[in-house]
Amino acid sequence: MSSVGTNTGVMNKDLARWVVEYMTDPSISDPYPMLAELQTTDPVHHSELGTWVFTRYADVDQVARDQRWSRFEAAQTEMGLLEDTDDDLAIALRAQQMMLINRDEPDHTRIRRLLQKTFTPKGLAGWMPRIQQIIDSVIDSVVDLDTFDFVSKVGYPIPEMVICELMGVPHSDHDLWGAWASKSVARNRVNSGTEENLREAQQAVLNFNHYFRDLVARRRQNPGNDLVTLLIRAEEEGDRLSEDELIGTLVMLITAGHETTANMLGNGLYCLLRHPEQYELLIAQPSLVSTAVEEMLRYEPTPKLGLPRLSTEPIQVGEITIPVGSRAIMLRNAANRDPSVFDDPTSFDITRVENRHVSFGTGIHFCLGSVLARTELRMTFAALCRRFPQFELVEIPSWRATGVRALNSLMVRRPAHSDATESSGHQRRKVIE
Amino acid sequence: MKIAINTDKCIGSGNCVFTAPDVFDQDEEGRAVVLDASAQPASTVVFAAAGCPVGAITIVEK
Repeated sequence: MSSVGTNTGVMNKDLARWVVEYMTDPSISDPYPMLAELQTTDPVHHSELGTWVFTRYADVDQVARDQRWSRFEAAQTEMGLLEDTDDDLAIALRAQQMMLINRDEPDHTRIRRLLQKTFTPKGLAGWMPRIQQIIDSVIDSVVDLDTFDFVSKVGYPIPEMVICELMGVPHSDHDLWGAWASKSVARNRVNSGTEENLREAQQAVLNFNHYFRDLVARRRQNPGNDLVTLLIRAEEEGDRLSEDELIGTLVMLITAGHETTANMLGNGLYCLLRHPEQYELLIAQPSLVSTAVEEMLRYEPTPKLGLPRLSTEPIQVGEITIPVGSRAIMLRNAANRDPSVFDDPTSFDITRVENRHVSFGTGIHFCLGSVLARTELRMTFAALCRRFPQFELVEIPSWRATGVRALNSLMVRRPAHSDATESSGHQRRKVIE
Repeated sequence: MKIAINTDKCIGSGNCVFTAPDVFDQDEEGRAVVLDASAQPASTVVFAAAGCPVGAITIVEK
């Protein structure tokens, strides 16, 4: 028998409170033991905030694939219109709602098809030499530093430069939109966060909207061979893309195109630093870089709360029937450690094969840029392991309180007496475990 | 092995090409196509089909 809208399991009060804390102030450094407990004791959890929280692999996968769970309807409730919201901001928020990741079918695939060919292995093939050049130049810039912040010096610059060139957005403007992108991912979509958090995110949306309207106007006069131009052409044809969809999707591309990969580079290196024997193995066997990157994606993925969905009818998840109009989040970081899918899920093992993590999502919203992200991650870690010995951790990093799982910074140093161009995995020191 | 692709469902994620590059390719619009069903081990193809985010790949016969 299925129950409607109630928890079947006996719910530990501390755990319930922890879930609320996790969703409202997610700077928790190690959420995994509590996530595992939630997965075991109350996998279809109705939180005190009203949001349903799914943690089992099968449920996360099923809900993401089930289009009765609407992203568009959920996004409508995230607009955050305030009493004093003026027309200009309302227009920007509407454009935001029209971006690809906030759409259901058939609109989702109509927009996605315009973009997809740029992000296939074939579409990216011509960009590979340039991406390698960008990675090499960024790594050159830290080669003489003994101690540096990997997140700001390497993690961010690489995907930022790559997405700028693909899109046709001047990288010199990144001082502007870099801060807007951070503010918009800081928006808590589960409960809207504080009013200050909401207003900052809205201001970022407005700034982005103005920026891209100006850029689009200029590019209409001087077209290029880039994504902005490609989308402008689709919009000018009339029935393929509206102006709001054009602007919204450009905001999505630049934000999703670098915030996720940038932080995945930081999270990935942090995985290696916490598991020095795995780091040493990767340096010794560079061909493991593909499986190593998949394991980093599984073990410490950047999506934390993800994009909520809204049920458009009563839907069964596990043993519970979720009522129509319910909000739900899928915790992919919990699903990635589900022991019914992954052997020894809490081990970080760079040789893991058939790694079926859900870090790029499943269903129609599977990451548009997964091929690009994987390429950037593999090429960067390959270059790091080729050019540097094992870094050492300078201090235990802290996690940002944002909607993505990201480090504030990752201070690393080269071991004493090492040569930057030569890798010697022998000088490692077990820093923390 | 015979593989069927539902091109209406396919969102062009490229996950199949990523997993089994000798078996799958993508057309101009990014939709998956089968290059050579026998080019890689059957287990790889099964894994690629299971990994399709929208379930657009079906293995018709082994």
